[in-house]
Amino acid sequence: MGEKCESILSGVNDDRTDFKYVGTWDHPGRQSWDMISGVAVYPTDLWEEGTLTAMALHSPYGHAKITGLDTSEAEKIEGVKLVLTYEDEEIASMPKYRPSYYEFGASPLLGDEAEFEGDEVGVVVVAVNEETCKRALDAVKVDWEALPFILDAREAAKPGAPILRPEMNPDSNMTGNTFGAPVEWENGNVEEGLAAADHVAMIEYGRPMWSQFRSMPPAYFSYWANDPWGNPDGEKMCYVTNHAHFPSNGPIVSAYMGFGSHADKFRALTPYMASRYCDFVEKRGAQLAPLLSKRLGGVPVRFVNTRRQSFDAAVPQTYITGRIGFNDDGTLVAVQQRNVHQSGARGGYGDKTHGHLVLPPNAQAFKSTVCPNIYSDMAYYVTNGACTTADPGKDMWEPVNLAFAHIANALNMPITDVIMKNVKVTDPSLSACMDAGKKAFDWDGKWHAPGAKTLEDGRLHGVAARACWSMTWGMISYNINLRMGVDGKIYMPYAEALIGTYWPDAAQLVIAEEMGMKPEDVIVYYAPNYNNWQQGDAADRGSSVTWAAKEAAVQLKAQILATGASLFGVTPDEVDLVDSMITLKADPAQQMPIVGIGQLAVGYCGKPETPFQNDVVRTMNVDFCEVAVDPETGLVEVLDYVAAHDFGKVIRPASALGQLEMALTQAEGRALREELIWDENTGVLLNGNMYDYKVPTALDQPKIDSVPVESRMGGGAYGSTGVAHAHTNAGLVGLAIQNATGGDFITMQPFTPDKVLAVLAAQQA
Amino acid sequence: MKHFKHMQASSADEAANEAKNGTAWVMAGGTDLLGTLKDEIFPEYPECVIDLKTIPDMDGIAEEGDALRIGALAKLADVAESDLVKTHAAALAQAAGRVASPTIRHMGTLGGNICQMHRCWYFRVPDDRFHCKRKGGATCPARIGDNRYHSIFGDDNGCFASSSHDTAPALVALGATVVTTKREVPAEEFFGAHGHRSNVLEDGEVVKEFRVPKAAKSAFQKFALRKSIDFPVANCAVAQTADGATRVVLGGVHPAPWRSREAEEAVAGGVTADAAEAAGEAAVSVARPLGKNAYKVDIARTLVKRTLMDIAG
Repeated sequence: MGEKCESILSGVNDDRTDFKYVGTWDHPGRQSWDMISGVAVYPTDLWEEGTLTAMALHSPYGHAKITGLDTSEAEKIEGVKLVLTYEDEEIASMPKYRPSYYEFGASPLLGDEAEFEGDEVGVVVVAVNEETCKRALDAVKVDWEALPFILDAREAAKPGAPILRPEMNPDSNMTGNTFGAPVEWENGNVEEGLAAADHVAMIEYGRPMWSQFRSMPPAYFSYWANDPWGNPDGEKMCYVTNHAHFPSNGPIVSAYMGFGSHADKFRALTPYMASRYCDFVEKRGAQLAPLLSKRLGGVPVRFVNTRRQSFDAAVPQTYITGRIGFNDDGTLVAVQQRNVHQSGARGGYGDKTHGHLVLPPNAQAFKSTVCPNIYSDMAYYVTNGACTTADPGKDMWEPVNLAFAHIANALNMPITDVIMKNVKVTDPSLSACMDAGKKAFDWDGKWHAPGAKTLEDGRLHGVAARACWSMTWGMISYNINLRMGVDGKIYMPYAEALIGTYWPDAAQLVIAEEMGMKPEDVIVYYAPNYNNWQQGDAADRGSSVTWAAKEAAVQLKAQILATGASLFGVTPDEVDLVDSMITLKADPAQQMPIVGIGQLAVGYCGKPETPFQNDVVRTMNVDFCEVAVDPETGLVEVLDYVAAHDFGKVIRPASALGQLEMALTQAEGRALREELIWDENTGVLLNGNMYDYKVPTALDQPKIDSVPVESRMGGGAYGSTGVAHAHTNAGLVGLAIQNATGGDFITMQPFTPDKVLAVLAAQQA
Repeated sequence: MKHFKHMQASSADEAANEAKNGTAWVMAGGTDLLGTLKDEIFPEYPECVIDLKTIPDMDGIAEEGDALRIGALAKLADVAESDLVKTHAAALAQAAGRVASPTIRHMGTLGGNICQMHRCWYFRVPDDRFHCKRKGGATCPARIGDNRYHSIFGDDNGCFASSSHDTAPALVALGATVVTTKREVPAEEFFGAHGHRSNVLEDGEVVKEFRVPKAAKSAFQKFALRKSIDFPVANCAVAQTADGATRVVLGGVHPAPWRSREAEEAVAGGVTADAAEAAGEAAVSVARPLGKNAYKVDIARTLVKRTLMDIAG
């Protein structure tokens, strides 16, 4: 173990141990109850009498420009209410930079150039129903000019590649089709490090574009109604669904700044979104629906996509090649890598101005090792895939663990030993995860040298382990408002569109715990236009939210006790809140309900003091995987998956372990089956459905053994931290497959039978 | 989805008569057809969909001499669980039990399964993006496109899709007969790439039942990437009559189920481990994989061997 990073173990990470609710089970969550009971209203559930349907033209080409457009026949179709084209003045005046700050470039909201197959382009129609919309769109005469397209970021990286976004990089003709200039980062001297190393190995890593598998096609519902608060200029209020996990009406408002309207004129209709993952870019219907409704006098308009049209890409391609140098004792001494990251035509998570990619992401991970010499360069390369929005940077420990596996194999060491020798951060978190995970997995009993074990049924047996950090996420400021009502309940509004992170339920327990309230007396509720999220990014947000909730709870409790003390005729120090009752400390039998003592409220906006991302305390997690590989068919089965995760402090076990199991299931699918596949000749997405894009079914879900570790080293309340992202890594399964076959590492995910068979064939050859 | 008329048939003949001009399509469980209509994969849309589920007495499973009679509307779940089928046509029961998911097997029918259209992703991309040979186009885009799941035994009428119905190889291996409103067709001659259909049915022709000869032994195996709700990368059915004659049929490797006479010859002397292995090799000896699906040859070889071993001894 190398050096430790500094931990901040005061303040937010207090050492409280007497938890009554935090860390316990059987607390019904407001959101989960809504979803399971059917109370939750999703955008597709919204409908009102007189609702019209809107649809857009979608490009049949991988990249194309509209050179001629005739909508006259479409406008004649009975039931068609409105046909707008990209030449409409109001559409043309919409902000070119759409609400997500992850989008880039200057493509208009509805333009004449389709940037990928399925892109919304040229025309939108509003009609009495979906079928009429389709007929109208079929009647639109479109002249297309097909343009060159790129599907693979490696092709886009080649000098001379077609330039899709010249405004993003004036030097593109020199550097390939990049979004912004490449980034370089170096620490030490890599060439010297490689020269001095006992061993040098090549590593190669690749992952495809993954989908966010949206099970429910989105519908964007909007109408305009009289402002209930009145308005001197008569402007109506817009009600609209929100489809990204942004807070409240933020993205909608920003889209309509061009209207000269105000934020409080837009009201989000529902927080529920249904199974989306890390999608920061709205479909264009989200912004077009309010406009179309407005043009039709405010009638409800439901902008729809077919299930195929809403099957987006999310996680981008990543390719890494390079060399590592290591010594006989297993120490990594040099890393030299090139990163090729994909960006979709319309967006990517590469805006360096937001601080995410101050250095190449895998360099961030290698920086957490003892390796003194690191060089990494990286660039985003623009392709004609659909929206590509998720961050390739957070989880880039996969190349680190791949490097560890190479070292382990070369030196015939267990990879667990290589991890412990090289990862320099966050003891005791790493040690605790490693020890707990090894025990749960029976690592010492299962580990063997590559290619050394065959199961009784003839399949090859493999195991592997990998380490990864869990984000502490001190970057976000959360805004928590608490109000004690006359009914003696504590109310906490939230507004974020929900995709499964369930943070209000965790915040509820923290508030109850901190205040001395019963959980059922802490009410979290959806409040349109409220805004919890003040700045920054929001992955694994539980840490920041719980911290802010705790601070707010402390303040409100102080107010309640001050009031209660005066009623008892004592000082605030002499009373406490116990089970929602003001209680005299000296005589706990003397209690007073807080019902009716008045209304009190506090607001707290802030973030954990833990610095963001680099060189900070990092809670870790260590996963273990056991596979069986059929040598005759190449089929891989995950037999066992142990995830030892340092939650810092588990706030709500049902949420925490559920997140873990979700992430590991996602990892299984990504490792073995999932990839978006385009036809190379046309740029058309081939597997944009749930049959051909093979997410895991219940039967495919591996046996998952979640091992919670609590180091109290996170940035959130009681030292808690986030959960999910790290475990969505698919690379671990690949390391286990290599341990099974004893052959080459498969360099491109997913690890499908064709690739496994190719490795086995190469061995035989 | 576009609107269409919906008719509930009272007999197979009535349904066939209503569908004879080609503007009406018939539907049993609907688990395949409704998806294609939602996605509008065809340039043309049916004016009417005729529901066959309302036809009485077409879902039975009965023993008749040395054969089983299975109604076309027999649910896949019922076929999979039928003691008669499990005893006399095990391959068919096993195949029916591997179709899709429990929910779909309780909706989908045996007749519907053998009539489902190919799962070729070029054929199935919504809005007729690829106007392939099956839809009247000039070429099969899979031939030079992404053909990782396509035929390894060449084309059928220029189509390189692979058969995706799990029960089809079992019916062929068992020597079943498909009884329609017009004729009786050996299962071996029933399948293929014909227009949008995966079989030889004509407009106005409805499958009524199957006659499945009892087999002394039979077995089925499927290789798919998911354990549930997945179409076969390849599957295999084998069946042996009382006199020892063995049929070997692969699915997922050609537009129609692929009967391997090479494999059958290899086990003509009996199914042993060595013979099964030889049969696997023989089965793929005539394979002609496309650019991205050579791995399916290994899988087909293995499936033949393993499925035969299920009836060895």
